[in-house]
Amino acid sequence: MNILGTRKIWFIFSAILLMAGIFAISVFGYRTGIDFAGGTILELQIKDAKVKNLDSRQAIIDAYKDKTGMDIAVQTTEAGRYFVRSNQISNGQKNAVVDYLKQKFNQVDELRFESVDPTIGADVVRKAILALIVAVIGILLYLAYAFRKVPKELGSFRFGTAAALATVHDILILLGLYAIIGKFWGAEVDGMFITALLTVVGFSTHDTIVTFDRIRENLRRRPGDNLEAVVNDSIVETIIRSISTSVTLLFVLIAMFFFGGATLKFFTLALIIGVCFGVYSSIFIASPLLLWGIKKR
Amino acid sequence: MVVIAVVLMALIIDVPAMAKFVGFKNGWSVKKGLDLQGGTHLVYQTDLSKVKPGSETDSVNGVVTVIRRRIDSLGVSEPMIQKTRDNSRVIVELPGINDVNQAIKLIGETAQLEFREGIKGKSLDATDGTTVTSQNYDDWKDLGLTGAHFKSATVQIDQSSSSLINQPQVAIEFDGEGAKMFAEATQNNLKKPLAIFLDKKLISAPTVQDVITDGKAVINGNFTLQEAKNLSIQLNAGALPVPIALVSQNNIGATIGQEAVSKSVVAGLLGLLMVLLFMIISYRLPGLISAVALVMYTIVTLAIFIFIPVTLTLSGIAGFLISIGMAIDANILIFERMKEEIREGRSVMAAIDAGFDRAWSSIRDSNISTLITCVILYYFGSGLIRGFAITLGIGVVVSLFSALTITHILLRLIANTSLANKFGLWGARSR
Repeated sequence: MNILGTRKIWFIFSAILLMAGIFAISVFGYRTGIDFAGGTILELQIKDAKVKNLDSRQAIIDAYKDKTGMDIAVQTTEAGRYFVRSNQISNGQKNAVVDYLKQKFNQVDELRFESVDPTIGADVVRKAILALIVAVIGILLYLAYAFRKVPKELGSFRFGTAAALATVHDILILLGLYAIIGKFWGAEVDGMFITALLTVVGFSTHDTIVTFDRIRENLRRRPGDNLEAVVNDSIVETIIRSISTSVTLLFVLIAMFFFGGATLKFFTLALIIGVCFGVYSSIFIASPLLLWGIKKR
Repeated sequence: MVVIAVVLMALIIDVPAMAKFVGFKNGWSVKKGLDLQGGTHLVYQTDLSKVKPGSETDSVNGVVTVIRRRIDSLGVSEPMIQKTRDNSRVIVELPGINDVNQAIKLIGETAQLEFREGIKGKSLDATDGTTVTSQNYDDWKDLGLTGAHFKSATVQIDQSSSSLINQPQVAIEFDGEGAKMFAEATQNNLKKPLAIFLDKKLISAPTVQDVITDGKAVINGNFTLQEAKNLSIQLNAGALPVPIALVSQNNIGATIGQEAVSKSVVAGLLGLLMVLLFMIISYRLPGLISAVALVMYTIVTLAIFIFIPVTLTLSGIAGFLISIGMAIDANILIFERMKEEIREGRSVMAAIDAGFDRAWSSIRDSNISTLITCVILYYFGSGLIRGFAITLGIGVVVSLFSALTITHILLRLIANTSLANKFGLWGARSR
């Protein structure tokens, strides 16, 4: 199997994905979660056999209009459950809305009420960006350290940079796809998405290291051998374990996605995307990057 | 043997029925976070504009203490109250609380009660000074008689004939110094109104009939019973040293949490099952052994969560489930290595040792990158994110341990039997 020989295809494939992603980000932008932008989420359950779904939705819209002056949209999560996201309202306003509904319907339960002030959101965003930067730098430094004993023609810095670039590649693709998912399915950028991003940073590096570790070993074993051949063989030798380690993780993630409930759906989806591209990049992107600009010997 | 003992201990911790069987009365259970058991998470912004520079920490610590005392009266089990490092916020978590609205009312008010003296021509009429003319806080004179001088406050029902309905009122008792000040104040204002302010709002301004020397007073402000109770709790707990405002709130009903738990359990079991099947199908005998090790891993990790204890949130469960998917990866790296070694002509036993030996560097390096991420997430993250970082981090560490010890020991045990010569079982057909 000659994987390095096909690298042009993969580089072009990645470039197209990256450009599509950047396009999606700049055109669609992101929806921000209330922990970032501030706002309120109210989830209600209205149990009243006599009431039609449509009526209770309208009643919730009326309640908001009457008590907070806001025009809102109601989502139905499950039968009899309603989800409203709006600008921040106070506890008192929320109580007024619930009381309004209680007068109309038999059983109104407040399942969840989450209200965040925008000032807190700004703080969370600042910390999240800081965390991302620190994570990438930390892993870059760690890689340079882990691969400090490599043959001279490929310095340890080269290993670190190639792995970090592959990781950045995964993150960018995830960011782009997430903009599309946000546009069409309503995924939001929130604390959990940042967590997913950072976790993908860890996983993606994890995968790349397995391949790089083999390259390091083979370089030592086969000194003077054709560099490209050594790297290609290393990829082929580790391709199954690269895929296997990610497949087990994907099993768990897919189970979580389908059966794990609504709250973490997009978080799991982001991880699934990240893990898939993590494997892809560790096989097709990271190692070719390692040889970037080195003359064939 | 040690491994079996560890797993047994873990099982006793995990399964309450087993704990009872062995003789522990109640057994243990995982500490559930707010989002799983229901409750409320409140974030208050502190207003430090009027605090002397340098004493911010003391003031906000005071806020925490006062809130704690107020909450104690609600009977919430294991409330969490803490301030942020920069003193800008106080976070209150009340698990399993029923009436969030009452808690919010109780916590948020400063509850600074003050007795103030009238000023002729300003707060009282200019002629004989017996009629109240202003409810404005600043029109009354400071007596220094505040909540700091209270000994206790209780709710009473006013049963005097003058009131038609039984009106709740709050009776207060001053401490020694306060009693003296109060006696003086009543002396100086005999037959004149004395104002009672709560958070700079006038509650009432009764006219002093007698000099009161026993330090007892009654506040009658058209309270409902609940309001009177709240006020007495607040007075007993003391006033907040600085005003606070509710900026963020997260109430989760118990139903949602229970659903999340049961869904996560289903997802977790399913994911685990798929991983087990995958391992057995792809790696045969070693796969089966790693499957056993993975089940042990799950049991031990859960026991560690209970033992530390780690408060499990929804994101924490996610971290744990993901760690199950990751825990197996060290095994995969080792088994692939073993296959190579067997193919190169080593005996199964030698291949096992060489597999562990040679795979170690990539296992170590690759898992450290995940651990770095966990540390950073923990450091920068809020509650939800931290829960994920902790469980994933613990999972990664325990999985390293289980791959290197449990799997290794089990493999060596089996390699000593006749199974060692059936290469097909070891996933290496080409020989």
